[in-house]
Order: sequence, then structure tokens, then C-alpha cells
Amino acid sequence: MRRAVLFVIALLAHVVPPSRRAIWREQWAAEVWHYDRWVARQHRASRAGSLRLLARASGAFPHAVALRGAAMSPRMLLHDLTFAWRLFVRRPAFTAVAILILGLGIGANATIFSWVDAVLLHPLSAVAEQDRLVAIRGTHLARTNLSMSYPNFVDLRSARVDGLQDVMAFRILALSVRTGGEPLRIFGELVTPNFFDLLGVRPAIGRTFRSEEGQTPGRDPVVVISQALWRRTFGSDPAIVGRSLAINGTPFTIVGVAPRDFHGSVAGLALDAYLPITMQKAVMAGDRLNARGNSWLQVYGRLTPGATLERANAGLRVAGDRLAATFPDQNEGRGLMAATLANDGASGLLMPVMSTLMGVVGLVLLIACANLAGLMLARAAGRQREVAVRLAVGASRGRVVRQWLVESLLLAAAGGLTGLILASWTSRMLALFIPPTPFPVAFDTGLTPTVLVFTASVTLLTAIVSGLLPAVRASRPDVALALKEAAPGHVGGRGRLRQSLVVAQVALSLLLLVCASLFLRSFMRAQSLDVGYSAHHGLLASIDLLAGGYDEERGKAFLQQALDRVAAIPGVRAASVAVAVPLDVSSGSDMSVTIDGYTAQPNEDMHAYYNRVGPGYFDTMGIDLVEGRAFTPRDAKDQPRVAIINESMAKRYFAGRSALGGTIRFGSGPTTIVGVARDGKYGTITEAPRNYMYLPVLQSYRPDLVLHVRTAAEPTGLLPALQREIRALDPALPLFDVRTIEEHRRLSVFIPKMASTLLGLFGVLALVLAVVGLYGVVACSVAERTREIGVRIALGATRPDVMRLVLRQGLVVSSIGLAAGLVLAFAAGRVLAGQLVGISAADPVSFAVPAAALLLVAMLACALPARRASRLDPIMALRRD
Amino acid sequence: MPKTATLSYGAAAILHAVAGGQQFGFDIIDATGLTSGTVYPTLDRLEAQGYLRSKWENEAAAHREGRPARRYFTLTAAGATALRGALAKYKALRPLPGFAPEGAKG
Repeated sequence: MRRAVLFVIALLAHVVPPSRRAIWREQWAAEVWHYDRWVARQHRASRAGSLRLLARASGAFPHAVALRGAAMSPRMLLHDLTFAWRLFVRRPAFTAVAILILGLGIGANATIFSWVDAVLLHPLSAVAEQDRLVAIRGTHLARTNLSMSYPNFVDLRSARVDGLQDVMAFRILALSVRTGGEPLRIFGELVTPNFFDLLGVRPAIGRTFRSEEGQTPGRDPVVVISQALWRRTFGSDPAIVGRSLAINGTPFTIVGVAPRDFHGSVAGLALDAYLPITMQKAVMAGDRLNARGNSWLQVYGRLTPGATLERANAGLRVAGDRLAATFPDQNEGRGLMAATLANDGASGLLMPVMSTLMGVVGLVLLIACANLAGLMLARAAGRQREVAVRLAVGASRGRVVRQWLVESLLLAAAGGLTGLILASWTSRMLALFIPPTPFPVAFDTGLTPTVLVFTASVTLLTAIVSGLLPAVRASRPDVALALKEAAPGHVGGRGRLRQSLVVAQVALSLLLLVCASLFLRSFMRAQSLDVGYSAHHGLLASIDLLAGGYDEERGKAFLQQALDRVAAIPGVRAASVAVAVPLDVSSGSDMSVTIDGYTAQPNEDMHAYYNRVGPGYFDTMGIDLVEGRAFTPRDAKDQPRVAIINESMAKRYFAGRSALGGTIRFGSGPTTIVGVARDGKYGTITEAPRNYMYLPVLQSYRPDLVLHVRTAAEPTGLLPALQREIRALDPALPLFDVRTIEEHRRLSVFIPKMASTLLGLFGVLALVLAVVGLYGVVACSVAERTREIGVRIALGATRPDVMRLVLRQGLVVSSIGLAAGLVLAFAAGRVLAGQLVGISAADPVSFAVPAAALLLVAMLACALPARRASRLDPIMALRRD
Repeated sequence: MPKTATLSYGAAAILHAVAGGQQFGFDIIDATGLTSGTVYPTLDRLEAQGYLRSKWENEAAAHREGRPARRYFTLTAAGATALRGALAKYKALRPLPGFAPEGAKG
């Protein structure tokens, strides 16, 4: 990264007036060196770190331009500008095409960058100084990214870790609120009282929490609500403070409203209510405030100004060791570490695809630049005389280069403006790709100041990249030759340069097309991938028995009755419940297990992910059992504890023998394995096979459950009947997040879908640009060779001969481009391999189809000028000049 | 006379940062919160106006530490005067010891 930046800076140095060039270059080399060091310290060479390095180094552009501007007399600059303006007005077609090309390239960059800005750089809207926020995670042996228990958090906070100004904790949870009418399902956070202060968020109305509101469990039923909830539920009542809101049946007093663009502490989620952590028992099962072994909180810290992540980590190591030493029962082997927020929540999910897209639009812009440079070179040929006259009457070469740079700057500025207009519309389109999720999603994309600065820098870069080469070329024509009347044969060198530009465009657009087809085919595979369960004709609906006022006994009774009633609905084939649905975007719950008869290696990861499911679950989901039996209603609390494990787990711990009858231990008491289920995909479709267990929900109860219903036909038609049956049992219990299993499945493929759609779009854009460039080169060379072709025809060349002559030129240029593009694409495929599902990164179809399509389109683009050449009237051609 | 010209907030913030001991472009960005595209051109402008003086670090010393020498900036007398005037105008800038606004005590 640093080398690329230094290269650009070396290029850019040519913009700086010669008298200051050396100093400028050294100054920037030193600054970049220190940025690089700083980024490495802060971000450990993550991609976000590279972006920051770029952002910091981008100051070199305005700096160089400012120095150049200071060296220019304003009168000269004005003269250059008016001259450029007149040229453009005189050639409206050229100007329009150039602005359009740049507008598309810059617009694509501004759009994707606005997403990167919203998703990766400023993922938490309305939160102050996000680069000083870090996530603090627990570690346990080889495992990282663990949550923290409340007692551990309290001790951590009072330890005053070096490098951390403060720490806070939160937990996201679903809540049922009621203000009179229908219960409403929202998502909120249990937070420590310093939550808002640490994030730097001030309330729009009222107050946030006081420190004493985090002291006594159950004492402070107060709530801060989001502006969205305030508008939706309270009609933006200005006298909101002091009003009451029933949350999971407990009345809470509203003390404040969060600012409009604050959506909570996790990227991408839109949360609606914030409750003091001491109110945990009112909204969540169990008493979690005193259990040191129960890890359920996420923790963020704010770095002390000037402190690095490393310093905080050193402090956390000390604090973690002390916690482990003081409470060995719960904390043995546990530690603490801090990480940037870039991998958190939706940011972590979208990071790979966003980085890919950013690279892709960069390529599109490069193609646009090459294209424009080609156009300007073609114009340079036509303006040789003008330049020669300028040089002949005493203009310096620098003066000519400056004139040309001003022209490309003017073009780029118009292109940048076009791009911004485009982006103001397209930057909002990120929301279109986000599928219906079980939780509310918010990304504030738009043209923020950061995006504007980025776009301005990109525009400047574009002007220099696309203008410098033609400018330098144009400034050294052979004066004597150009001043002569006709010199049509002496354009060979310039023609070669244009051809190389087209080769580059063809290569880059093939690269993009191959990436696009890799993602498209991966998306298609992902949709039909065997995930271990059937997505056909199924319905999901969530219920929350705790919010409905059920204790465990009544909850279980309710479940039995509800499942019987639902199963009796005509058209329902099977029905069950489970805590988690496979392939939702969360990573799932796991726990540490021991297996009787299996000796774990020292430090071997003995964790298994698990789900708690009701009787009939495997039937309902279409999950095959390889061995043993499924759960029945008889697997209840007073019966021996049982579990069903997946094939991977059975193979790993019971190699060579049957797992049936084996004993697993976790928590309290032994659990007998009664079945082995086929492997599936549990968290994401790209995951490696993992240990997975199913436990009967009647033995390890949870009140927040998802109803699973398998139907004989199209499932949505049965929804009214389903709602009727649940309402007949309890009219106050809401069914929420109703969706078909197929809809749920779409959630797991939205990233491949987004990637393939956007890459396809950019690939086609690149293809169009490259083909326009190719057409330009071939058409131009036909125009330049009119005389030569005339002579050939006069000497007896047939029309097919001439056609072949011209087509051959196009074929050679595009073949070289194709070959280079294939090599590039092969390298890119290896980088993207981790994001592909079900196909190899060297998938032959993904390479062959775009290459063939590109070749075909390229030949069509050459056919037009070839035809024109073959129809030349030799007499007219020879008479020209 | 350039010395009577009023400083923009950005220029004042940069002088302020330099007076506060931040001598490199990089640290000035961090101290002021301005973008790098503003800081570097303004530093050169302030130098041209006589408010700042730039020097290079001792090259031999830097090379011994295995890093490139950096260009650093110090305040001139004219710069100090201009900063005093600016501090009276831009209240958002934290007062600096020895740079009390003109007319104020202490």
C-alpha cells in the first residue's frame, strides 16, 4: 500500500513547480512513512487501516495543486481556462462523451465510497470520534470474540485499564412494548449508565442515564427511546418525558429521546429503546447480574486520546490476568483483548464485499481514465499544429503541459459534478440490497463531507491520470514536421500509445467481467446449495413467552397445546419450535462439552454449537437422521437428558463406533446421545463443517422461540389459520417476524446477490467503455490510413482484403488485452476465493464466457470502421490531402 | 501589511497547534481535526506569509533511528502575534499558556 502511495506521489510531484519539487517530494515521503507506521500501530494492516492511509495521503493532491496554483499567475490561469472552455464548446460531442465517461467512473466511486463510509468508516451514526472506540472481547484458550459477564465487566471498569478512558457494556434484545393498543415488537439495548456518555451521544429531549441508575437491581424502571419510536408511538409528543411505556409487561418511565440519527451501538441495526442494565430481570430470563460465569454482554471502550490499540491491549492483558487469578473458578484460561469496531455487526458482514466493490470501482475509474486519455491523445494528433505554433513562438513545454492539464481538469470537474449528481441518487440504493431481516436495519448512506472530499480527490486524480500522458505527449511534437502542410504518416508512435491504452482497457474490463461471473455463478450455486434442510413450503413465526407473561411450566404447556392445534390445521404437514433458525446472520450459541471415552488434547477446542428444538423438529425442517431417533414429547424435564448430534461431531468424537448411547457432559449431569443428524449449514453458507447439537426445548427451556410450520402447499395462505389458532389460546400473545423459510433463506445469500448484481453492472459499464475505446482507435487509424488504403485498393486489394486488414488490427489489440485480462482475472480469483460458494476460483465457465463475449463485441466494434474502409473510393482517397 | 490580515479559523487552528508543540503535518492534522487536504497547503501559505518557519530534522539523527527526516514547523514572532489576535476571535481554541489574547490579563 505504501509503495503504491509513494508511486502516486512521485507522479504527482510533476504538478509541483520545479523550484519546490524536491522539498515537496521529501516532505511527503516522510509523512507517508509516518502515516504507515501509525496505521500499522493502530489497525494492524487491516483494510480499514489502508483506507485511512489513503485518506491521510490524499492531502498530497490539494497540496500539489495549491503550490502549482500559487506559481501560476491568475491571468494566465484565466487565459488557459477560457481557452479550454472555447475548445470544449467548439467540440460538443467530444466534450459530452468525455464528461459522461468521467461522470460514470467518478459516480460509481462516489457511490461505493459513500457505502464504505457508512458501513466501515462511520458505522455508528451520531457517535463521536469512532476511531477511538474499540470492542473489548473475552478470550478463552483458542477462542476469541467472547462476550463478558456483568461481574467481570464491573471489575474491569473499576480496574481503570491503562489506555482506556472508560468502558461500557450493552446487550441487544427483543422487547415487547405496549402503550395501550396492540403490543409492538421492537429491538432495544440493556446498557450501563455511561453508555451514552461514552459514545458521545446527547439526548434530543430529556436526559440519558445517571450513574446511580446502574447500581441497584430493579430500582430504576427508566427508558430512553429512539426518535423513530417517539414519532411512531407517541406522535412526536413534545411532553414525552415522564410518560409511561410498558416493556415486557413492566411499566417504564421515559426520561429522554435519542437524537434522530442515533440507531444504537451496533453497525447497521436500528434499535428503539435503551434500558439500564440493572433492569435486566424485567426483560430477560434469569438473574444475570450476579453470575460471573454467565457471559452475555458486549463491551466497548474508548481509547484515551493519543493511546494506541496496543497500549489498551497491554492494559487489558494485565486486567484479564488479574480477573483470572482472582476468580479462577469462572475465569481460568480467560483473557481480554480489544479490537477495532470494523469487524463488528453488519460491518464485519459487509466488509469483504465492500472492499471488493471499492477495488472494482477503482478499476472502472482507471478504465474511464484510459479511455479519456485515448480520446485526448486522438485530439492531440489533430492539434499538433496548434501546439507546434505555440512552441515555435516561444511557449515553454511546461506552459503547454499546463494548458492541457487545465483542460483535463475542467473536464474532470464537469465529470465529477456529473458523478456527484449520479451518486446523490445511487448512494441511497444500498437499502435495496438489504433483504427483509428479523431485525430493523439502518445505514445512513449519503453524500457526507467525507464522501465529498473523497470525490473531489478522485476528480483531481482523474484529471491528472488522464491528462498528464496526453499533455506530455502533445508538448513534444516535431515542430518542423508538424508545421509542414501534411504529415499524415507520422502518427505511428501516438497510435501505439493509444493501442496500449485500449489493451489496458480490454484487460481490466475482462478482469471485471470474470469477477462478475464468478460472483454470479457463486450466487446461483449458493441458492441451490444443500444446506441440510428443506426451504420448500415452510413458514416461520416468532413468539416470546416471557414477554407474554408465561413462566416455564405454563410456557411448556402452552407449547404443547399450540403445536397440537397448529398441526391439526388442514394443509399443515408438521409443526415444531426451535430457538434458532439455521442461517440467520448471528453466529449462534455454543458451549464447552466433554465426551465420555474421548480424551481431549491439551488446548483442544471442545466447543459445540447447539440449538434447542421441540418435538417433531427434524420432520418439520426435513433434516434427515442418519442414526437413532428424533425427539418426542416424552423427552421432558423429569426424563433422562438426551441430545442429537450432527455427523461431524459424531465422526470427530466417536471415530469408528456408533455415537448412539454415548454420553456428553456440559453444565450439570450427563446427556445421552439418542440420534445423529445429517450435517448442515448453521451460521453462514461458507462455513466449514462444525460440531452441532440439538437439545430438547422441553428439557432446556427458553421462552423466546420460533414456530416452524411445514405445509403441503404454498405456505402464506395458511397464515390466517395459524394466527387464529394461536389467538384462540392466548389473544394477547403476538406472532412476529412471520416469514417463509424461503424468505429466510434469502437472507443468507444477500451478500453474494449484492456482489454479483453490482459487479455485473460495473462489468458491463467497463465493457462499454473498453469497446468505445477500441472503436475509437480502429476508426481513428482507418481515418489516418485513408491514403494507404486507397493505394491498396487502387493496386488491386479486394474489399474482403481491406476488411481483414482493419479487423486484424482490432483483433490483435483485443487479443493482447484478453490474454492480459485472463492473467489478471486468474490472480484476482485467488484473492476472491474465500467469498465464493460452490465453485472454484478458476471456474472455466466464468472465464470462457466473458472472454468470448468480449471478443465478439470487440469484433463488432471493429466491423464498422472496417466496412467503411472497404467501401473507400480509391480515387477520392488518393485525392485527399 | 499581511500582519493585519485576519486569519481563517483553519489557519488559526494550525498556528495554535504549532504553538502547542505539534510540529509535523501529521500531528497537526490530529490536533486540529482538519483534513490533510487543508493542512498542508495552509502550512505553506503560513510560511509564505511569515507566520511559520520550516526546517528539516537532522538527517543523520533520523537515519540512525531508521526513519526518514521530516519537515517541521515552528512559530515566528509574527506568527505568535497573529495567533494572539486569532485566539481572541476564535473562542473554540483552547487557551495556551503564554498566548493570552491581547488585552486579556494573565
